[in-house]
Amino acid sequence: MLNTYTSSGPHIESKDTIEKAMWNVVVALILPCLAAIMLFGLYSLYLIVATALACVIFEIPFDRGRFTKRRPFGDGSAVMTGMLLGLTFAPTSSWWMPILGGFLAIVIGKQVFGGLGNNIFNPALVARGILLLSWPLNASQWIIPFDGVTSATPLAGSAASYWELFIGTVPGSIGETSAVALILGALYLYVKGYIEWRIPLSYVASSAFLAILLGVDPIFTILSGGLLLGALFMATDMVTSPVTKNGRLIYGIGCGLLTVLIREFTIFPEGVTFAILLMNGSSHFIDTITEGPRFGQVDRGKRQIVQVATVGAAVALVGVFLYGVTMLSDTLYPLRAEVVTQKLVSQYFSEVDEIKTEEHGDAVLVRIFADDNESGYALYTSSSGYNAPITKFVAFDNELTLLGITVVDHREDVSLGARVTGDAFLSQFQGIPVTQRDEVLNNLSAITGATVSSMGIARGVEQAIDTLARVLDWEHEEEAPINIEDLPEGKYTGVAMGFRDDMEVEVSIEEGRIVDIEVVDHSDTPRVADPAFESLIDEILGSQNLDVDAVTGATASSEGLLEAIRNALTGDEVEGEDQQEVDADSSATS
Amino acid sequence: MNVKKFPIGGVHLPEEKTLTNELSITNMTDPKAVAIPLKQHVGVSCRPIVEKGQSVSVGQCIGANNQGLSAKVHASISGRVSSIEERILEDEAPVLCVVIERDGNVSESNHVHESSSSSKSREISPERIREIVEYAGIVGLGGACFPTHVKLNPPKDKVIDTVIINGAECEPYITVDHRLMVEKPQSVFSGLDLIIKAVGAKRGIVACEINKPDALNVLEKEATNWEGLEAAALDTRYPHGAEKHLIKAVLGKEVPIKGLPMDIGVVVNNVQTAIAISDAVYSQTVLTSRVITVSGRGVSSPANLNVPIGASIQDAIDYCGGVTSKQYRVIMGGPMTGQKIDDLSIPVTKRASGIVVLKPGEYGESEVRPCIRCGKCVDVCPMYLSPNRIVAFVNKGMHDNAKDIDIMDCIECGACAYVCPSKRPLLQWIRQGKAVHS
Repeated sequence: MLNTYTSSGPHIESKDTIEKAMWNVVVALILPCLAAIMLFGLYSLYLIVATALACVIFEIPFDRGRFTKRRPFGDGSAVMTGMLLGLTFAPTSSWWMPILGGFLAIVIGKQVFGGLGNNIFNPALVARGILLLSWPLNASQWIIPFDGVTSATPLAGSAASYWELFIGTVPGSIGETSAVALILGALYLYVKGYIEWRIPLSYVASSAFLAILLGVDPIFTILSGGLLLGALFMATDMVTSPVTKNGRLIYGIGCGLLTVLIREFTIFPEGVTFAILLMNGSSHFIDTITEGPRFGQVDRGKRQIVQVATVGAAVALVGVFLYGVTMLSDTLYPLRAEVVTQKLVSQYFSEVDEIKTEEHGDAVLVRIFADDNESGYALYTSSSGYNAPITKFVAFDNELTLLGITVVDHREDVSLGARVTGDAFLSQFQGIPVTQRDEVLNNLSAITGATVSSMGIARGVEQAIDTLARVLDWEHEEEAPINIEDLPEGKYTGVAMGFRDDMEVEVSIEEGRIVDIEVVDHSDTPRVADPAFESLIDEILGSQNLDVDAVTGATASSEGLLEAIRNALTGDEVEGEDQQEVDADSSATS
Repeated sequence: MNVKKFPIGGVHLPEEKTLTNELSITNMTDPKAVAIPLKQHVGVSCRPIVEKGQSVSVGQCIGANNQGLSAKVHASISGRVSSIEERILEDEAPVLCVVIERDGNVSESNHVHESSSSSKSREISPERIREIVEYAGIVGLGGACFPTHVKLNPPKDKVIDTVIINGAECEPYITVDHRLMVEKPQSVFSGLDLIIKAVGAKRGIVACEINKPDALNVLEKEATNWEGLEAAALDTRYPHGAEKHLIKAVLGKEVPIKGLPMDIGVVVNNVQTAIAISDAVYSQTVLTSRVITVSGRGVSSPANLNVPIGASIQDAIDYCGGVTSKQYRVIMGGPMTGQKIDDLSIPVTKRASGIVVLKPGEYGESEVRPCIRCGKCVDVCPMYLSPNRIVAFVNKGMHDNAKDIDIMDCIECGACAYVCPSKRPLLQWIRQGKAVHS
C-alpha cells in the first residue's frame, strides 16, 4: 500500500522555487534601496547592507546546510528580510541598529517559531516593532533629504506637497519616503507573479476610505509614512498573509483600517508596523473563515452568508471590546482622577485639609483648603499640542502666583514634543503672578524644533489664568457692550484664538442687523468645529446678539468664534466696499 | 472561434506534445505473450471463462461476470492460455490475469463479434447499442474505466440533454486523443451519434483544446456533416480533461459536489471510447487493443501505438526502440496523474493512456522544503480547496479537520503539487489523508 502514494504524481514540477520567490523580492527592493541612498546618503547603504548581512549571519547556525560555496546567501529569505528591515530604519539610526535588528528579525521573529514558513509574524516587522518600542529616539530621528536638518516625520503634520511625497524628498525612514520607487518595485513583483493585487489595493483603498471618514487628507494618508512600503512589501509577505482570495481582501482592509486608526487615535504617529503585525496574527483565522465555497457546491449562498456573518461577528466583537474598554475607562476615570489630584496637590502644597473640584467649561478648578482657609488653587486645562491636546495641572498659591506645572497627559512625539513635559522647560513659568498674563507668551523660551508643543503649554497657562480670573471675579478685561443697531453697513473681519490656532471671521451688517457670518479661516478639527460653528452662527443670526452658549465638546472653538465676532464688531478690523469711511465711523462709535 | 474555459483555478502546463503530435498511430506487432487482467474496470472482477492450456483466438471472450458492475474481457492475441495467475498491477493491487502465449499466428485483425446483423442500420435501438457495447467490453478509455454500457443506461428519472466527447487531453506528452481526432474524425462523430441515441440526448459536442489546431480544424469540418453535433474549442489549461471541469467550461454548468454529470443532464465520454463504440457497432469489433502514447525523452523513438491489451510496458518500450539513458522514470498514464512504475512487466490495460519515460531533469526530484504559504496551490485548485491547509492537517494526523475542509472533494489532479515552489508532494499526502476516510 505504501508505494501507491510515493509513486503518485505529479511527476513533473514547475520551475518556480523558494529561491526564485525570495531573490525576486530582493531585485524588486533594489530600486527603493537606490532611492534611499540618493535621498539620505551613503549611510543608508550601510544600514541596508549591514542589516541584510546580519540577517544572513544569524540565519547560518539554524540552517547550516543551505549555505554553500555556490549559494553563500542561502535561499535568499534572510537577505530579503534584512533589506526590508534596513529600509525601515531612520537615516540617523546608530551603527549597531542593523546588527541588533538582524538578530531580532531572524532569531526572535523567525527561527523561534520554527524557521522559514512557520513564523506567524513578519520577521522584519517584529524587529522593527521591538526597536521602535525599545529605542524610540533612535528609531524616530528624522532628517530632511539632501539637507541633513532634523525634523519630525511628515505624518506629524508638515505640509509636504503630493509631488514631494511621491518622489520621496520628505523626512522619514530611508526606504519609505519614495512612493515612486516602491510602486515600480512592486509592479515588477506583480508582473513576475509574486504578489497579488488584492492585499496592496485593499490596504490602500481602505486606509484612504477611513481617512476621508475621519476628515484626513486621503492622498496624504497613502503617500506619507510607511504605508506604501507596508502595503506593497510587508503586508504581501507570503508566509504571514492569508492564502484565500477573499481572505487577502479582508486582511488588506484590516491592515488599512488599523493603520489609520493607530495613526489618528494612539500615541504612535505611524501605525503601519503594528497594523500589519496585528493582521499577521489573524491570518490563520481569516483563512479558516474564508474557506470555499467549493466547485459544485449547491448551498453556496448559505456558505457565503455564514462567512459574511462570521467576519461581521468578529469585527463586531472587536468593536464591542474596544468600546467597552473605552466606557470602562470613562467610569474609572473620576475615581482615578481624585487620587491623581490628591497626589498632584500634595506636590505643591504641604498642608492640605480639603480639596474641592469645580468644572468651569473645559477647565477644572481645584480649591485647596488648609486651616479653613483657601490656601491655593490649581487648574486642569487642555490646550492643543502638536499631535493632540496637552493636559496640564497648573498650581497657584493664595496670592495668585504660579507655583508650578505638571503635564498630566500628552501625545507628543517622544523625541521632540515630549521635552516640554520636563522640568527644564516648565520651570520658566514658576513665579509668574496672575496679573502678568502677557508675560507668559512674551517671555516664552520655546524648545527648538518643538515650538508648537511649547506654545501649547504657554496657551494652557494663559487659559488657566483666564479661568481663575473669571471664577474669582478678578477684573481682567471688561467686555464692551456692542450695539449692533448703531453699526454702519459693511463687512467686518475679526481674529481670535480657536482651539488650535487663530481663526478669522467675516461679519456682514446691513440695516443694523447681522445678516451673515462667515468663518474665513480656522485650523480646528473640521469634523468637530464645523457643526459647532454652524449652530452658533444660526443662533446668533436668530437672536441678533452674542449672548449665546458655547457648544459642548467644542468649547474652545465656540469661544474662539464668539471672540472673533466680538473683535470684528468692536472695530478691531474693518473691511468693506467703502473701507475708509466705515473705518472712520467705527472708530468714532467705539 | 469562441474559446471556452472554466473560470477559476487550473494551471498552464508545459505541453511536451511535439514529441508525438505529428506521428500517425502505428499498430504494435503482437508480443510473445500478454497478461490480460480480469479487472480493468470500475466494479467487480470478471471470472475467467477459459482454462489453462486452452487455445484462444483474438477477440474471444475470456472473462465475464454477470453479477454486479463489470465489463467483459477479450483475448487480444491468438494463442494458448499458459496460466491464470495473480499479478500486481500499477495501483499495487493483485489482480487475476489470463496469460496468453502467442502460437505463431500473428493475428491480422480484431475478432468480429456474433450477432452483427442489423447493426449497420441507422435505426438501431438504444437497447441494441448497449448490448453491443457490453459485448465488446468497452469501458471509459480516458482513464476512468467505468463500464460504458452502464453509463449509456441512465436511470429513468435522469433526463440527458447533452453528450460531450472529451478530447481536451490536458496531460502533457499524451497525444492519443489528438491523433485519433485527426485520423478518425468520422468515427468520433458516429460514436457520439450512437451515444446520443443510447441516452436520448438532443445535443452533442466534441471538445478539444486549442493547442491541437489541426484536430480542431478536422473536427469542425466533420461537424458540418452531422446535424445537431458540434465541435468546441477549449483554452489550454489543466485540468480541462476532468469531467466536471469540462462540463463547466463547455456548458457553464457545475456538477453538484458528490453528484454525477447525469444529475445535470450531461454524459461525458472520451474520444477513444466513442471510436470504440462506433467500431463495435459498425465494424463489429471488440475492444482488444487501445492506442497509447509512448513518449518522453527517455524513450528512443516516441510513438502513438495501438497496443494489444495485456502487452507489457517493457514490450511497448522495446517496440519504440528502448530507453535512451541509464537513469529514467517510467510513468503509466500522464505525468500529472499517472503512476510511477518500477516493474516493467506490468501489462498495458484499458486504463493506460500512455507510457511516459522521463529522463532526469524532466521529472521533478527536488528537495521538499517547508510551506511558505504562498497560496499558489489555493489559486490553482480547480475544486477551490486549500491544499496547503488540508496537507497541514493530514501531516499532523488531524484527519477530521482535513475532512472538515473537504479533503474528500479533491479530484487528485495534482495541479497543487505541480505549482508548489517548495516542491511538496501535496497530492501524495492528500491521497494518504483520503485513504484514512475510505
